[in-house]
Amino acid sequence: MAELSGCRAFTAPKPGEDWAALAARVLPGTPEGEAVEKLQSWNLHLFARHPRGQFLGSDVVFTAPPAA
Amino acid sequence: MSEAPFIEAAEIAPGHDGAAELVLFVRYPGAGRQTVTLDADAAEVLFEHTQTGDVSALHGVPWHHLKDVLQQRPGSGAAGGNG
Amino acid sequence: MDWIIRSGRIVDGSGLPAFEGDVALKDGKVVRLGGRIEAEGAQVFDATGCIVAPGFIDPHTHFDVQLLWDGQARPALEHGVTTIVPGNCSLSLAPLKAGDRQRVVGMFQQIEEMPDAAFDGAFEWRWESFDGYLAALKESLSINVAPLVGHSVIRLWVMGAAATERAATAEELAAMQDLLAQCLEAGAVGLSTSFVDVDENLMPVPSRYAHLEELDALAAVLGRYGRMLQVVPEFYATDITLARVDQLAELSLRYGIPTTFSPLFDSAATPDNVPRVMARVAEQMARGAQVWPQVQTRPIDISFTFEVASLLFAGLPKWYRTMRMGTEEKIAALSDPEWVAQLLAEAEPGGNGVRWAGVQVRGGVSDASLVGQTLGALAEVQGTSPAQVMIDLSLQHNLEASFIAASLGHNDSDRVGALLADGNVHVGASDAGAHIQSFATYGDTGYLLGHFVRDRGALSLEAAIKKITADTARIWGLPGRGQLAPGFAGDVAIFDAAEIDRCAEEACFDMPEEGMRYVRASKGMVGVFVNGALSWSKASGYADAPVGQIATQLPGAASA
Repeated sequence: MAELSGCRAFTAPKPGEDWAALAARVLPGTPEGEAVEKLQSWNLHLFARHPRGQFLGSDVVFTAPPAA
Repeated sequence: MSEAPFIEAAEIAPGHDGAAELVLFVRYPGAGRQTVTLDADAAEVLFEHTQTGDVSALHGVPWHHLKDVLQQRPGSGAAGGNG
Repeated sequence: MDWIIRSGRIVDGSGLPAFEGDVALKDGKVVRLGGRIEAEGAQVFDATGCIVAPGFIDPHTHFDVQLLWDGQARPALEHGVTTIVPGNCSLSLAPLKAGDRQRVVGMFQQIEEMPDAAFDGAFEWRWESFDGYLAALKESLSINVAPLVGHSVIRLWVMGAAATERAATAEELAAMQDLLAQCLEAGAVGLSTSFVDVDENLMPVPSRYAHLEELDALAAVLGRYGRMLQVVPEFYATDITLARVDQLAELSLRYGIPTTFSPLFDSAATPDNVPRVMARVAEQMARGAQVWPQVQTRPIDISFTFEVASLLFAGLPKWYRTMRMGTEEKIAALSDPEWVAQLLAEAEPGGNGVRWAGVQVRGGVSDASLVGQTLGALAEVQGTSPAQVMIDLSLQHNLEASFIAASLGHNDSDRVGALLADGNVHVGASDAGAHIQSFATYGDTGYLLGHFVRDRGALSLEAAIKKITADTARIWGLPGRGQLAPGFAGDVAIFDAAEIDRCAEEACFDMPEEGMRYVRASKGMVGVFVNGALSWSKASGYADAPVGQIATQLPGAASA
């Protein structure tokens, strides 16, 4: 199978996860407030739709900033 | 310039449903940039908060401000309309 | 022999060079083609000077409701479209419990802009199950249908009100799997889901509440049947689209299913979007995944009135400020010569890139002869400026005059032409039957064959026909359709290659209770056969030929 090039890391929210829980999963070791802040800044699209800033099961949640 | 992400540019784009949309380009210092698309209602609230009706005046608006404005807005529709 | 289509130039859908000859149809199928065919008693359709091609297949439509009172899906059929895929974007009219109908009607109205009358008295709502819906369709079907079943209605059936509240339980997941299997057994061509659509309250549709595990479970069922997963991804968001491509690719590889996402637009605002998405698609296709981006042929227009503040004016602060005023204040401002002088000064240098002179009057005016005229032409006659004409017309008609700024997106013919020709692109995404009061979604195939093939040479006629016939049938698993070959369905589009196109958009009042929609008539099409029956011709119009079939099943003999 052909190799894939790298792309921006993302995850999908798990049932019941909020920002803090998702941050703990994808950015372990980073203080919660800082991790949540990072995640939110990378995922402004989740604030541009309803429910604002809350996860829907089908969302794409980026776990890294966009590539340079 | 702050190290926090900020709106680097904004453009009007035609939406799939025949309405115009506002595409924001958010710059992440030290990384790349990404787009955030707003419908007319959300854009209006953003313009109100920045006290302008000019897309060029959105340049430099920090991500926190954008997030706060979007969270406060009474409307609920995501940009892009329906498929 | 029932029909001989005489002396046409045959483009058989395979992509091979065209050739001259006749096509013979019998019992709903193609039985011979090429050379001179004689058959006593057969009717003859003279195709001299015309292209004879397989009927076109439109993979992204929302004709779900219209088909219940218009089995011809007008005007799709007269454009040569003989097979349609309704049920896109997570929404179908079945399976649906009676108690949930109003909820789904709201979603359909949001997407299709169908008037209330379309759901209230235009048809008798007798089904709940998917096969019940198909039975209702088949009573007067004149076009072939390969229906998707919507993820949102499956979720609603199993979870009720909780469909827009939470993740599904294991029991609910199993119930959804069973229900999807029933729909596929009944004839569904696959499952549609959406990551962007909203209901009439602008709330997310049920499918958006589903976690990835749910989509995976449903894809597993699709894998048992080798059926399609269709999704609507976020627009103008490249990184998100790339993530969606990867998600779809994983499902495709895991379960051996085709997947498609629609639409993929080219846009001057985000010029790197298409190249990046197509590069990722190519990588995933090289791995063996089937992730088909659907690309529409037509450019995107923006419609607006002075009643609502369109973002079209957001690059012009004075205009945008004016548009955001209340109605009375706005009328007063537009009547104030000093204010208007400032508006004109701001608009005339070109503003935010909109070419005001090219903007057309669309409707809402008392003088019908103005409709379709450009502001530039009217300004020249009146010795004024296009922006002044726009202001005057709006004031004269209580701000209800409507305008259309045509071709503002997906409009670079060089880029879009190259995209359409890409081997990994699935030509589709017409959205036919949706947004009916905003713009016309018909005639994209005519635009492909006229604008991109004949006028610009972006792809050969044979390649273009293959994309909208045999390729589509292969991608979607429609047996016996999409080619002119013995044993294949007698679905045929006959057109003049020098004339083929779409006509201008026009308002039409043919929805229930004279509801309005925008349509485009066909141009250059001369005849359309469905399952061996002449269903539309330029000479005689629509025929009463209820010969449409469920296209996931092998073509059968025409019953009329």
